Amino acid sequence: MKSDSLKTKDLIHVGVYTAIYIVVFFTVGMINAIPFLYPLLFILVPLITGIPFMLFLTKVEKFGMVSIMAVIIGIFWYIMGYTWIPTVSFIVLGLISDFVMKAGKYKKFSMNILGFVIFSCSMLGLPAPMWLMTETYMAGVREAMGEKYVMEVTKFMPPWMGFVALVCIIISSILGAFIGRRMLKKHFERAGIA
Amino acid sequence: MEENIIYEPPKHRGLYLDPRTKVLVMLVLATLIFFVHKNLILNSILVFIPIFLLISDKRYRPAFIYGGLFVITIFVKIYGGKFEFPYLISMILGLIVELIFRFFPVFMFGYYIIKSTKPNEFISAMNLWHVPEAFIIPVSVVFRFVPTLAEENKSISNAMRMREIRFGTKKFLKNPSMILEYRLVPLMMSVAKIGEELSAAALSRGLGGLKKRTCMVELRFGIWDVCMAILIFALVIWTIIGRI
Repeated sequence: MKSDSLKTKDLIHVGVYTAIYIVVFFTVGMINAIPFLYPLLFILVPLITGIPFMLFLTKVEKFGMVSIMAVIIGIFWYIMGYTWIPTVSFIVLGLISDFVMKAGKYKKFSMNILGFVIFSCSMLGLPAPMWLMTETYMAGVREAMGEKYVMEVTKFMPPWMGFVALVCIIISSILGAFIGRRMLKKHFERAGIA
Repeated sequence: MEENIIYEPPKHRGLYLDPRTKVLVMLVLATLIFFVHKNLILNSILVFIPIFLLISDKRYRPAFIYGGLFVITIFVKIYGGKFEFPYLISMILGLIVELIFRFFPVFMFGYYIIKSTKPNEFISAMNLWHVPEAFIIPVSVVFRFVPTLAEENKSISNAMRMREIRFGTKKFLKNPSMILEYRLVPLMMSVAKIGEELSAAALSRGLGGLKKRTCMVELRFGIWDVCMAILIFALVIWTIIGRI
């Protein structure tokens, strides 16, 4: 018998996969210290996090698990000093993606891809302060990182980059979802984990 | 018949902060960091709070490493403007200064929280705040899991080195995607298993039962929490005055 409410076991799974997601994101995210590699972030992160996320989805059968993950990650970014925008974007988009995947009962692959794309889009919130509050944000960064970093970053991250980044995220998260599914078929199902 | 001895929670010695105070201070710290980067003294105080707490918890090594780095960056920040460094070096220097001043206070505070708070204290403190369990359990699992992940990752990279899977070897050039696959897949395998075991262990200890759980440690705000509150309050006021 399966109930709809979250059990302790599910909550522990959420914690485990959130930890993986954060660690992978953070390790890959280190490259954004070098300005001209910043756009690469939007390609690499969804591509790599596809594998843990797809495995996570095999454990998810109840509504709310993706949302809790999104809330934790959002609060994590706030504490890491990325203003409140990523927190909001993660929570809102995480909820939406949870609804989308619920429509496919977390089993239908097409719905899962859509959900993962939406979830990945929330990482647009990380550089968003750069575009939304350009003046105040850049003044702060200039103080801290020096004039040259600001010039480099604005050169490689003009506001229209937002749309390019969105397209990059969508394409690479679809790819990431497929890679994740291939990995599931190739390794995890055989080992009896997925 | 012997009488049962009534359990008394151990008294806290030395500097002891309530977990609730720790979490609140961390949130305030993370917020203040946005606003103080123009005020060097205020920022230094923010940096010194985690160092002081780490020393009070007898974690001398991280405290001294961080303190040393901080002294160096203060010199860079005060005298750095006088020299013209080449582009790359100045960028790296700027990055380090940024890291030490903006991210490390919160990092180190998080490290202090993880090292000085036992999970049961954390959980019961959050219970006192009526945070829903759906949020407490995943967060405490995340705290517990990050060190495990690092450990697993290290052993996997050892195994990979033994089989010549690294950047630039012949095997790598034949199939570059393997560097990702061969690292992530075993990692996820072991993590999925550890997760299963963890949840079994937690369930057998009664997590997720219907009864309300109790905690062996008595949580109460003490004199140190009051001191911390006054300090943080003063810092907030200072920041607001500085902004106007």
